[in-house]
Amino acid sequence: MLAIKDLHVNVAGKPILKGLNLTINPGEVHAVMGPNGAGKSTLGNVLSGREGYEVIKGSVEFNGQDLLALSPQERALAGVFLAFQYPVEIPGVNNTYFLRAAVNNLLKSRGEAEIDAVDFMTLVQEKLKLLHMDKKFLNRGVNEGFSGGEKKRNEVLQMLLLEPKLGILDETDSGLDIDALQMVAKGVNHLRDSARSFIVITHYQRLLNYIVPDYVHVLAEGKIVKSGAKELALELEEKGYGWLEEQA
Amino acid sequence: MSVLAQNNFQWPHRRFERWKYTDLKSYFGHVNFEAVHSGGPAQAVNISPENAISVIFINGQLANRDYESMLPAGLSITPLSEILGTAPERVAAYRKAHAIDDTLHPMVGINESLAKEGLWIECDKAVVLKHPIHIIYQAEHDSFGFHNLNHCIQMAESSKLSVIESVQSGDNRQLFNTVTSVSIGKGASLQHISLSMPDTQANHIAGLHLWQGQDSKSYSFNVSCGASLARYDTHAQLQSVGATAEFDGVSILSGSRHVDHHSIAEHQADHTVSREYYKMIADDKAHGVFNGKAIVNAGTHGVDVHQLSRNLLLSSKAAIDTKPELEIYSDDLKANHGATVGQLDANELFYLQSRGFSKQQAQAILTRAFLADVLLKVPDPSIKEWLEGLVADAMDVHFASHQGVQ
Repeated sequence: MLAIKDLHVNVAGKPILKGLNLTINPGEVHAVMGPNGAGKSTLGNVLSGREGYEVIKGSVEFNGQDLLALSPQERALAGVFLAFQYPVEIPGVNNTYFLRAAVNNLLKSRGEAEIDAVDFMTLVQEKLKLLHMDKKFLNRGVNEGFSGGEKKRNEVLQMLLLEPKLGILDETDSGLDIDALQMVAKGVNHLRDSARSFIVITHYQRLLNYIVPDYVHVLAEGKIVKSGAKELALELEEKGYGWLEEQA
Repeated sequence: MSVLAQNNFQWPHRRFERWKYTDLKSYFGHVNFEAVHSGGPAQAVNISPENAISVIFINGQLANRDYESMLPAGLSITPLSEILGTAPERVAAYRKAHAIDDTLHPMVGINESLAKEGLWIECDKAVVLKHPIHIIYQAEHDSFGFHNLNHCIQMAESSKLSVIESVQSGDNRQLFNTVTSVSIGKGASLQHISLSMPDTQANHIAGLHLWQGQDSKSYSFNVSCGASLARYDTHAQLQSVGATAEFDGVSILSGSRHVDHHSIAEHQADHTVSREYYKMIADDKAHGVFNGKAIVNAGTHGVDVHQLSRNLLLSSKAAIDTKPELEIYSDDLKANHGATVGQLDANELFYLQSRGFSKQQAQAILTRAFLADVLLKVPDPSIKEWLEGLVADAMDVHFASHQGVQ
């Protein structure tokens, strides 16, 4: 599904990713862990097409397409979804309007009929229930005045509605209490199936108790320095990242 | 000899401080305008909110009289030409009692000389008009046409009126110069909406002059999304205790449009209040100007002034000049003002794109959101809804015509 080969990325002229390789097959969940400054968020941003991330070398293939040649919109419509580490507040844009417009955009791009307001409300209420979110969030501006946990749940709500092929969670666990963490995990686990893949970027092992990965990778100094099964996360929790950074 | 020369008229130009961004001499000084009082399109355009009482002026002439049957007792609307014919002294007396300073408002004198038509509206004590009076301007002329209309509205104590003025047709050779003077009696309330529709290019110079009595209220809202050049002067004289004036508005500027919004709130009495909230967006090579001035007279107490001008630039070639101004001669007051000029937030744009919106869609969504809160302030719900629809359509047209432009 996703093949990242020898990816080198500069941010403001400074090399951040320095030859990253990662292959993800359909249905797999890959955790990417690492110390601060290793390039974890850069990976999420470069995959979703944020400006300011300069690809120097390497390639990213997504379901047979050159992902790096696509605009952020085209990537989203092709099925890449980034759950932001810091979801943006957009005052004045109603959350329901935003969510429905996003779903309809996707349906339109596939040549399918748009969803009407009534059917959409039924759909969104089902997803809200799953995340234990109050209906009142629908009538507010997008993320406007939401707490950290509410913003992250709103990210997962969007993911549940847009049903991406590849979900990238960029430190979705940061700043979350245990209840919110469980809700986020529940949403992700609900979407897991044999065709859909996830990259779970995290600093801590804690989230991986709830979203159990198939593989764990350690990103340090812009490269993956170690890969293993889910047990690697526990080892990192115990030993920290220092011993791997030395190897890198 | 042109009609302007006959009247010894001089266009205001950049050496007048209040006209420095809107140098009418350079725009129109070389043009041989004809004062237009006839002709025009046979078919009237009328885009109105529901239940509006429309009064249509085509090439400066009153085109309908059917509004007469829709007026409640105690409210009269008479063509200015009739009053000028039968009782010109009444017009003269009104203008004398409500004299407009020609040094501040140099387009008023020529208007009073040339305007043959307009509305003379008298609203008796405690008369409340439920539906808005909609004054519609249209022009069609095969040369440069100068269209002057003059309205005098007298509102007695505790009366309530809603008035809309809109330019609905005319090419960019047409210049409307309109003056609306309203005396708002004790406890009376006026809502005034001024509009240039998206599909007109006619130039519009509009003066709104408010004379406010004790505890009276005025609310004015300006939507400019059409005119090639527009200049709005709103001037409220808060003459008695407790008078309140609110000026809000939005301008949507594209192409090479130029819109200049000047306002003055003159606080002449205690506990008078003025509020101003104005938003502009400018794309392409458009130019927006905002100047909001509050004058607080010496010896007044408890005056309350608030001004905010917020602006959004969508193109590096667009420009906005904004200046909130306070001229204060009293030390017992509450005043604050602010102005911002910014661009769309890159993080917000990317957030929307990452959810499958195109860059143009994202810009349109964020620009609409930027304008949303000021539109919410329009007091009359049906007019608010109507204006929201007009602004949304104008934005759709704008962003549709900018598809693919980065």
